[in-house]
Amino acid sequence: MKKRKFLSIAGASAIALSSVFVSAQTAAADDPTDLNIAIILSAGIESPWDGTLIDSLERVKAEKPHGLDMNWQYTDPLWGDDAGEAMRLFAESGEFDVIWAHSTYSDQVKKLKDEFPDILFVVVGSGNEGLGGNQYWVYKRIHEASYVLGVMAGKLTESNTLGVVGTFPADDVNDEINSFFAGARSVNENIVQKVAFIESWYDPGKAAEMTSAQISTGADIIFSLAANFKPCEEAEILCFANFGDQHSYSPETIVSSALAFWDPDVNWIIDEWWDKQVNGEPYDGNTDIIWRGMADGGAGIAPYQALADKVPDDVKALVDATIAEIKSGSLVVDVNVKNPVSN
Amino acid sequence: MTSINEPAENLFPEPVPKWRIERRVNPKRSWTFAMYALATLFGLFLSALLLLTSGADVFKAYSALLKGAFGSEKALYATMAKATPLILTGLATVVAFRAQVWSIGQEGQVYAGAMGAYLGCLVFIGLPAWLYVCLIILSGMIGGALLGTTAAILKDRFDVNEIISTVMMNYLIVFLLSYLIGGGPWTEVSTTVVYQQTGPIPAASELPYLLGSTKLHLGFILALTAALVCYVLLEKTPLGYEIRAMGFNPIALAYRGTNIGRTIIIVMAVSGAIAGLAGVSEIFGTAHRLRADTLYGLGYTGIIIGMIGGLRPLGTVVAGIVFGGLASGGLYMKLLAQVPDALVPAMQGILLLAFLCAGVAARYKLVRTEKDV
Repeated sequence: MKKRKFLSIAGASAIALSSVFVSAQTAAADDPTDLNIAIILSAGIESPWDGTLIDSLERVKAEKPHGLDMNWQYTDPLWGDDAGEAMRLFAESGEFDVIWAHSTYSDQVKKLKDEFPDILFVVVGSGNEGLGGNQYWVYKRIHEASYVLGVMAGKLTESNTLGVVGTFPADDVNDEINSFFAGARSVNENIVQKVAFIESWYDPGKAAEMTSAQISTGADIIFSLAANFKPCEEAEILCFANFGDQHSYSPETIVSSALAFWDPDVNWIIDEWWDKQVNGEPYDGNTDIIWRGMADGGAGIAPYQALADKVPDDVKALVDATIAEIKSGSLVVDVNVKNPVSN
Repeated sequence: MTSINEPAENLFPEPVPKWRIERRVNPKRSWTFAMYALATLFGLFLSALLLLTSGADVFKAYSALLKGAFGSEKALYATMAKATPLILTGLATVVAFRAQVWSIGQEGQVYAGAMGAYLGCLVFIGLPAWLYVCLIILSGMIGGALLGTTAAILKDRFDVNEIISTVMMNYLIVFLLSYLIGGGPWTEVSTTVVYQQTGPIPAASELPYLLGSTKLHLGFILALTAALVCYVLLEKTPLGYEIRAMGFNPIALAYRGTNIGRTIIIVMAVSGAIAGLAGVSEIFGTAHRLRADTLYGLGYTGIIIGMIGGLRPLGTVVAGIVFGGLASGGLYMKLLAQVPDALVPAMQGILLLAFLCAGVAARYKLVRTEKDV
């Protein structure tokens, strides 16, 4: 009798467990398997700002977060009303879960976000308005990496004059430039700084003009945020780049680059989207800026590659020590967004 | 017998050309229309070849273009909104080029107009809405006119070539704007402290939308009004006669007693004011905050529009709407037919060349000068 009762209980338990398992399997089967992202680019895939986003998406896609198969479509550079119209076309197509607008587009998102509450909108960088709800605001600061490059430059310079060629003077441009000089001064108090802006987000021609002007004022190392290193090659001086590892563009001049990794930002957005789809958590976009630095894997510096022999071992050791201090939190690089000027 | 000292021309007399180019006297409207229609077809045909070489589906691309440009009421309004600043900068070109004042300063004047209007927006805030908008428009026109007049004075007083001075001022004004909105007094103060833009303009200063549209705004009416004013000015007034006469023969005009310097200043002021209106329209009708990137290229494109329009106000309005449609439909082509970004301006260039050829064919003819022997 006891045996029969035991068998009954065991049988019932097995049925219950299997039904739980089956229902769990059913729930898992209902979970989304694809994530489709529409991307509005601001400068084009060739620019480090936009190119590094696609690189990060490729890395995240390979990891298959939540088992998702990620797909994306990106536009050529679009601004203003055109960008808004493109967002609307993407949203109305019903094919996209996330619209990632990779620069200052909150004015356009503001007109769409309530009309398409199931779509997660992303805006990136300075000049945006924190709208919250289904708009998320990704911010990128690579000032810590720029500080490290400054340390290197401060040690490598012979003329003690360092030049920076910037795009526009803006919050997340100025922080890089000021940190670069702060890093240089931390190891060389005689640094003279030269700063010029090309007044464009991407204009290689103007970048060349400004870089040549910096070199002619005596700068023997250039930190170019404007992605043209031809004048450095002609003057046979060393350069630093930003956002992407641009060594391959000018292997004889680019020692290293301050890198942006969007991977943690992409993962954050995917998690937020997943929470809404699977757990029913409403979107709760940030209204203040959130940035992920070196300690969070959001920034770094590029390897020396072919120019490793141009950097003495003691400087390499200093660079490594500085990175370790930043990652551990024992060195905090101030965010200084004041407009940098030459001296 | 000829001496070896005789000039070579006598040995090898230059052949008289069998054909010469002659201006058509009162060309027929039907002929002009036919030439431009042919140019449109030819431009579209060449563009189709270009699309084919890029691997795009030509039918899909043109369908997307049509849908985006004129495919619906909404698309039509969007096209008209896109055309608005182009018509205005095109008209600015018409006024200057008809006087053969080769101003390339429309680009900078658009910026100056936007900046003047934004200054007006700050100064006149609090006034009744209709007066507020009127003063903003006026401030923008003054901004553009001031920049144009500066180039004119440099030409009149110091004989500075207007092409050089206007191109230089295009750069100067962009840097001035960058200073004002990139950390200067007009910079937006918000979560991120420095960016290349002002804060949003007050709602009362926005150019009102027309016909319940969310794209088409009062600027389009201003553009049509400007076209009418330009037509009357150039064709029906003594000043217009002087402007046109200066284009044909400034020396003869000076002998007639016209003050050439004064006329150049007026031409550049009017041209600058119209270009400035384009800046007002774009900032206060579409963007609703002052940013440099929303204004970029409007002035340079206006030169193309003016040329395609045959330097005539009506032609410029038509060309502006065609290019507005290309801009509006071009976006659809890029997104729906995956046409490469560079092909849209290339198509515009092809159409420009086709229209310029049509303009020549409409106004000139080949005349035979001798019969074949």
